[in-house]
Order: sequence, then structure tokens, then C-alpha cells
Amino acid sequence: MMFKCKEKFVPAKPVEAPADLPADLFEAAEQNSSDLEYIARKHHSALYDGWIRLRKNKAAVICAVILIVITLFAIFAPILSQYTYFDTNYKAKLKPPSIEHPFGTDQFGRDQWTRIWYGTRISLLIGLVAALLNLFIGVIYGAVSAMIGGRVDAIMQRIIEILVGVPHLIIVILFMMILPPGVGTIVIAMSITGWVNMARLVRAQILKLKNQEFVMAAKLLGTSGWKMIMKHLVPNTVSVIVIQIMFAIPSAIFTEAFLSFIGVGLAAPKASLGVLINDGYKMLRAAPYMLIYPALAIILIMVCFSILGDGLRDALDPRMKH
Amino acid sequence: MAKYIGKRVFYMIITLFLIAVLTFVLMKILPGSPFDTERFEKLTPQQQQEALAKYDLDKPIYVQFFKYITDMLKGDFGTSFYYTKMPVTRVIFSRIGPSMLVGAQAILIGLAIGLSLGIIAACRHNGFVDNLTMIIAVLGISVPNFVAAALLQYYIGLKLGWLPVGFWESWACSVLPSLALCVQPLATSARFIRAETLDVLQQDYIVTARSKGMTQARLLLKHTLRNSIIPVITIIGTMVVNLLTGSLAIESIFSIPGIGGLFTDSVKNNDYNVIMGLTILYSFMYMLAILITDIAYSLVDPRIRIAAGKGGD
Repeated sequence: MMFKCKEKFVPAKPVEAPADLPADLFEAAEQNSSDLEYIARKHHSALYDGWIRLRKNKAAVICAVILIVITLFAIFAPILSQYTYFDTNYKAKLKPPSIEHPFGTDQFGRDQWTRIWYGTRISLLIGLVAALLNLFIGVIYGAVSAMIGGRVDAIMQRIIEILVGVPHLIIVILFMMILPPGVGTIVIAMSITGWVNMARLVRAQILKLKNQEFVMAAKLLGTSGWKMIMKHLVPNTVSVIVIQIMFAIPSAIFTEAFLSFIGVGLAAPKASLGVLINDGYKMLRAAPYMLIYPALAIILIMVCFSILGDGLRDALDPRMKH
Repeated sequence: MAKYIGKRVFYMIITLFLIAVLTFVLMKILPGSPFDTERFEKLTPQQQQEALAKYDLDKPIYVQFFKYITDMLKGDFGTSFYYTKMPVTRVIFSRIGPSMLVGAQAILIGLAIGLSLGIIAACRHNGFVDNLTMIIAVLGISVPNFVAAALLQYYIGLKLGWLPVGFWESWACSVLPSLALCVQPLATSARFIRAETLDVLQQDYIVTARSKGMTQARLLLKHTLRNSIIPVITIIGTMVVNLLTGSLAIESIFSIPGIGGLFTDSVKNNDYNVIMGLTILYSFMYMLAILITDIAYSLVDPRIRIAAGKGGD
């Protein structure tokens, strides 16, 4: 709470007026109760506050810029390229990087520049969609569990306790075996157990908030249930969700790459970074550049997400340690 | 404590049972059969019947499932379809050795390098080693292990030719896979011990010891490390989990006859029984690693005491 104190300040003990200033020159200032609540500075949301802190973290900002540039390339490079990701050209197969083919061509003469950016696009898309799906299921599950409480919460938590024991990657592989290969399948398979962490975090955060003074005060003042959720619980949970998403995206990209690498992910001629790394690995002796460029691309993306995620965590949740 | 462990073991059993049900259902609805379709169709109906009966594939689903579960409790996972006539347990056990060797080497190398780097980094905070450690930690955590493995294989195995790749004959063959697998434990432990040591170095008793004129080495060994190294046991569970999943790709990259490679091969060969057995085995090890981590947490830091282990309660 901020006071507009200079003019309105009323001392507890009336000060004796100096002899040369007659008391009748003064008059008591009017006290307006609404002025006491006046907030001099503009209100910042928690996210804006976090942004201010994040801006100071140079490494995180650089990584954010790199990720934006990569995303733009992933969107536009395949469109602007004169080649497509699936067109084969047997006259130009296994060409090392040159001006015409900056990243070379593969064993079918497909342009690696186009394929790598197209693969990056698919990988980013899978990461984003999987993270959003986890967010959707996890937030609803966690919030319902925490808000209703009691027996419902107990049952929902037992279900989670059973699911956390499931090794994520193994189950995803099993599901990929029975489902037809494709982007949607991968996202669905990854979401079967992927949302559990998000649900746990959201539930823990809401439970923590529910017991805090400002929520009790709001309840005491008669805030309705819906307003309580939208005004007090959601804004204070957003930072936890954002941080979790920043770690869920690279994790989904990794899982997809892993699946494609062991051969249960996307099928040719579709490309993702995992497919490209797998192709490159098979051609390692003949055309090492086929492995190195997609490997660099995935490493760059993962490192940037990692640094940006750490930065966001420090910025949005300063109380949390490392 | 005993009650807590009992409760957790109870959940482990439920989870394992559910995974068993799930794998069974998934395998039943899988496209493709363990038999070679073309050759299978050439058999007479009676021969087909015999082949199916041999693996109990002709019985109703629930009978198959009941038999599967009871056999499993007896430690019998059926016979492999691919490695003909070999019981799944034998296929798996014959493969555990190489996996354990590579895994143990990876954890030991990773911990040794990671802990030393992390401690030096904390003592020379913001110095060269510190920055180097942080770069290694970020790279180690973010670079996918199969990418690291493929690059190691290319540069050290093929280009420089220092170490053998692609076969499994002598101890030298286990060096590169161990190196590829040790990246993650190395990065995790370096980052963890660095933060812990930095934390301890700020405590009042360290300042007191320093002001009493204690030498740096003595201070480090007697006061700092004792307190910062114990919590490391809490991350060993995470490392084991990482190794388990990491081994899937790395063992097939380096052609190691271990259980990770066996899993990926069985996925490609539709070897249902082996997949089911390995899924149960992996899940069991995974849950055991998590349980041990949670117990370690409460032992190391009495403030957490189980409450945190309950799952955010």
C-alpha cells in the first residue's frame, strides 16, 4: 500500500506552531480514505516483472533470439528454397556442401538445406504441440485435484502415483509400435504420461496458494469462486506453467528425435531432426555432413531452450534455487 | 519409515501390474504377428494350428492373459519368438552383463569427472574452470545422448581410429559407449555439486573456520566436502534412470549385446515376449531408482522427511 504522503501527512502529535507563524495560518488537511489506497506506480503483472528480470540475463536473451531466428528459418526456408524436402534427384546424390546445396544432398539427391529446415519445423511443431497438450491436460487435472480436494483429490493423486512409476520412453515406444506413424501419433503417444509432471506442479502450487493470507483475505472479502481462480490463482500459477513448458518443449523434441532415431517415429520421406540424424548416421562413412548438420541443429535448439529455460526460471521464480 | 516404504512398494506392485496389463493388450492389438506371414500361410491349417498352439496363441485372450500373469509371477516370461526356443529370461540375463559394465563405467567416469569439476568450479567461483564447467554442464544436459554417441563414433572411432566401434570383443570396445553414456551423469553431478558447495561455502561456520586461519585444503576437505557431497546420493537415482533410457539408443549404435539394444531389436522384430519381459524389467528398475532416490532424500535432509516424497503433498 502506498501513501501520497507529502501533503496529506497528519502527524500523530500536533506540532507547536513557531511564535512567528500564527496557528490560524494552518488548517488541517482533509483526509480522503480513497487516497490512502492510491498506487503511484503502474501495476506490473508477474509476467512483466519476470520479463524485466529476464532482459538482464544476456545469455537467455541471446538464446531467445537464436530460437526466434531458427523458427523463422524453419517456417520460411523450405518455402523459399527451390527444392522440396521430398523431391529426389539421382544426378545430384551425396553432393558435399556447396553454394547450390549449402548442407549437401543425401543418397537420393534431396537437398539437405531444405530437409534440415523442414525437419526443424516438424521437430519444433511436435515439441510445441506436445508441450501444449501436456499443459492442457496437466493444468486441468492439477487444478481440479487441488480445488475440489478431499476424496476426489486423494483418488486423483493415487492415479498419479501409479503413473509416475511408468518409464515414459518405454511406454511411448510401445504405443508407437501399434499406432500408425505420423506427427499426430507421436504427440499423442508422448502425452499419455507426459502431463503428469505438469499436473503435480500445478496442484502443489494451487495448494500452496490456497493457504496463503491474500487468498484467505480475498475469501473473507467475499470474492466469488470464479473470480478467485481468474484473479488470484491463475496469475500466480502462470510462472510455474511457463517454466514447465520451457522444459517440456525440448524434452518432447528429444523424445521425438529418439523415436525416429530408433526407427519407430516418422517415416520417409517426412523429415524431422531425428529422422535426419538417423539417415545421417546410416550414411556416416560416405557422407559425414549428413549427420553433422542435423546434429548441430538439434544441439543448438536444445542448448538454447535449456539456457532460456534456466533464465526464465530465475526470472519468474526468484525464490526458487538453481 | 517402514510404513512409507511399504506404501511405496504397494504402489510399485500396482504400477507393475498395470504395465503388465498394458503391454499385454498392446502386444495383442499390434499389427503383424511373430510368424513370417508368407511362410505361415503356406502351412496346412493343421500345421498352423500346431504352431499357434505351441505358443498358446489359439486360446481365448483372457486365458492367455491369466497364464501370462501367473507365469510371470513364477519368473517365466515365455519363449522368445526371434531367438527360437530361448526362454525370455535367459535371453535377457545373457544380455545384462555388457549393459551393467557399460552403465557402471559410465556412472563412475561421470561422477569422478563431474564431482571434481564441480568442486573446483565452486572454489574458483566465476573463474575459468567455473565457466568451463557450466558450459560442459549445459551441453551435457541438452545434447541428446544418441547424437553424442554418433559424433563420438565418427570422430574418435572412425576418423581418428583410436578406439574400436561396431563390435564387442574386448574391453576397449566398451570405452566409447561408456564415454557417450557418461556425459549426462557428468553434467548432472557437476552442476549439482557446484551448487551444493557454493551453498556450503557461504555458511557461517566456514567463515569462522576461515577467520581462524584454517588452510584452504583443510577447510575444503574437513568442512565443506563433508557437507556438500552427501546430497549427491539423491541424484544417483536420476542418473540410473537416464542410463536406462540412454542405453536403448547407445547400445544399438555401438552394437553392444546388452538389454538396451535387445529392446530396440525386439521392437523391430516384433518379438512380443521379449518386449514384455524387458518392459517389466525396465519399469521395475526405473521404479526402484525413484524409490531409492526418495528414501535417500529423506535420509540426507531430515527437513524433507517423506512429506515431499508423497508427491507434492
